[in-house]
Amino acid sequence: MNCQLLKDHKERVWQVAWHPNGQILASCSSDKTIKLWQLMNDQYKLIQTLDECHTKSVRSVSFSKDGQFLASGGFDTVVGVWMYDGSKYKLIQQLEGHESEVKGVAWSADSNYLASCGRDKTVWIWDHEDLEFSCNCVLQAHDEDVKCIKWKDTTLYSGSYDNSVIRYTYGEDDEWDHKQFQIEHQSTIWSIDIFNKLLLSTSADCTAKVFSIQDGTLKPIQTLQGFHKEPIYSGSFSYDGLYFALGSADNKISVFKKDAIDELGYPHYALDQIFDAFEFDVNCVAFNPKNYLLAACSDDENIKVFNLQL
Amino acid sequence: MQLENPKPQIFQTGNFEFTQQYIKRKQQEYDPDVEDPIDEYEIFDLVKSIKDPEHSFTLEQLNIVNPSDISIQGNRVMVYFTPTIPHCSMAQTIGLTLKIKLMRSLPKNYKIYVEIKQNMHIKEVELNKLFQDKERVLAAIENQQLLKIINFGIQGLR
Repeated sequence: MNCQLLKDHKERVWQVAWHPNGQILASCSSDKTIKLWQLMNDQYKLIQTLDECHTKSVRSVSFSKDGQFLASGGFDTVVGVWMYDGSKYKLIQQLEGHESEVKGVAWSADSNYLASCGRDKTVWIWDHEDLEFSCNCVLQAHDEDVKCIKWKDTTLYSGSYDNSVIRYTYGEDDEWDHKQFQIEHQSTIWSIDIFNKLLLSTSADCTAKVFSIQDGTLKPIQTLQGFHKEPIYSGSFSYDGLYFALGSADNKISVFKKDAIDELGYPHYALDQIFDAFEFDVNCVAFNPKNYLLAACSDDENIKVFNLQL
Repeated sequence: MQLENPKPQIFQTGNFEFTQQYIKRKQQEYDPDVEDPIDEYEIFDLVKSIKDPEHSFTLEQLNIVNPSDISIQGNRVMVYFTPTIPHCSMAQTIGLTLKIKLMRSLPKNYKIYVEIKQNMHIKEVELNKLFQDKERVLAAIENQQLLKIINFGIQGLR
């Protein structure tokens, strides 16, 4: 398989995230740094190492949809906000408030809101005015660690150690309302990805599930079971929803392809390929927003960008 | 501080050394033609000297770990441990110490499972989930206070 190895982190790489232009990849690691890799002459080259924000593992990283901002979340409880100044991403603010490890950061589609979540069971929503970020709201709806967050436009979804998913919407009463979904995962929900009206969840119960988001509920469409023998830490839809990939602690990546649409109009996905991707746990998979390149990272300190030849 | 279990039962150590399986294994160790895979006795060797957080005894002396509650399949290692009492508040520290000691000692491609033996603790489901949560375990290592306690346990009694 055609694949490029991106090697520079000194410890496990927790997450990779694409710039919306599909040319830059950000990665974050237990080595306390964030690295930026840019495509130049068909090769990804390290262009920046961001090491001035975090004093512990950097768990999560995310670009805003306009590419202006980068956010990072770390075990040191800090959320870092970085801004592009025309040549580099520079640290503009360190947001403090979480009481323990930050596990996820994510930007709303309009880049107006940044959300962060963590072991303190909370989700923080931050907004900004004149490049000054401040806390808009602290939401404590989960009973346990909040492991992941994902925006669909201006609606936020979170997945938790309490095995549930919660949806947050900004109501007419100027408050964030929430609704909890018990989506029949038997253990921690490690990741959520969303494509149009489809939500993909992955869990420590070694399964992934696809839901249809409709009428304010999550309707289960498909459970992917038996493909991985260890927790599935990450799932990612391709830009067109034709594929999704899963990355697991069994060191494997699986790729599923939409192969049918049932009488109700719901898609069905079938296994396209499954392969040993790394020596150790796969912590994150992320499809490029423009093409079928798949970035992934692992406990073995490496990042790989796969050309899956789909 | 008042001890939760002031007079724990102390067990005779090394009983397993008389089992046929162990004797055979010992003999094979000196035979260059026989491959020595990592087995349950080797895992036991790694964890037996860990110091109990409450008492000046090892996990072996308190029968918290023993070779028959360890199993290996390929690169998957399962260690079940038995807290001295079902409401032992030290069970979390013991589990984390076992997991971290094995993570440090075994080849990195090993998948390590540490669990409380069935029906041996009032919070076993909750704690077993915690021991299996990689993020929680790794965050514990980055917590200086917790790491000190864990390292003290790993350092053990010699």
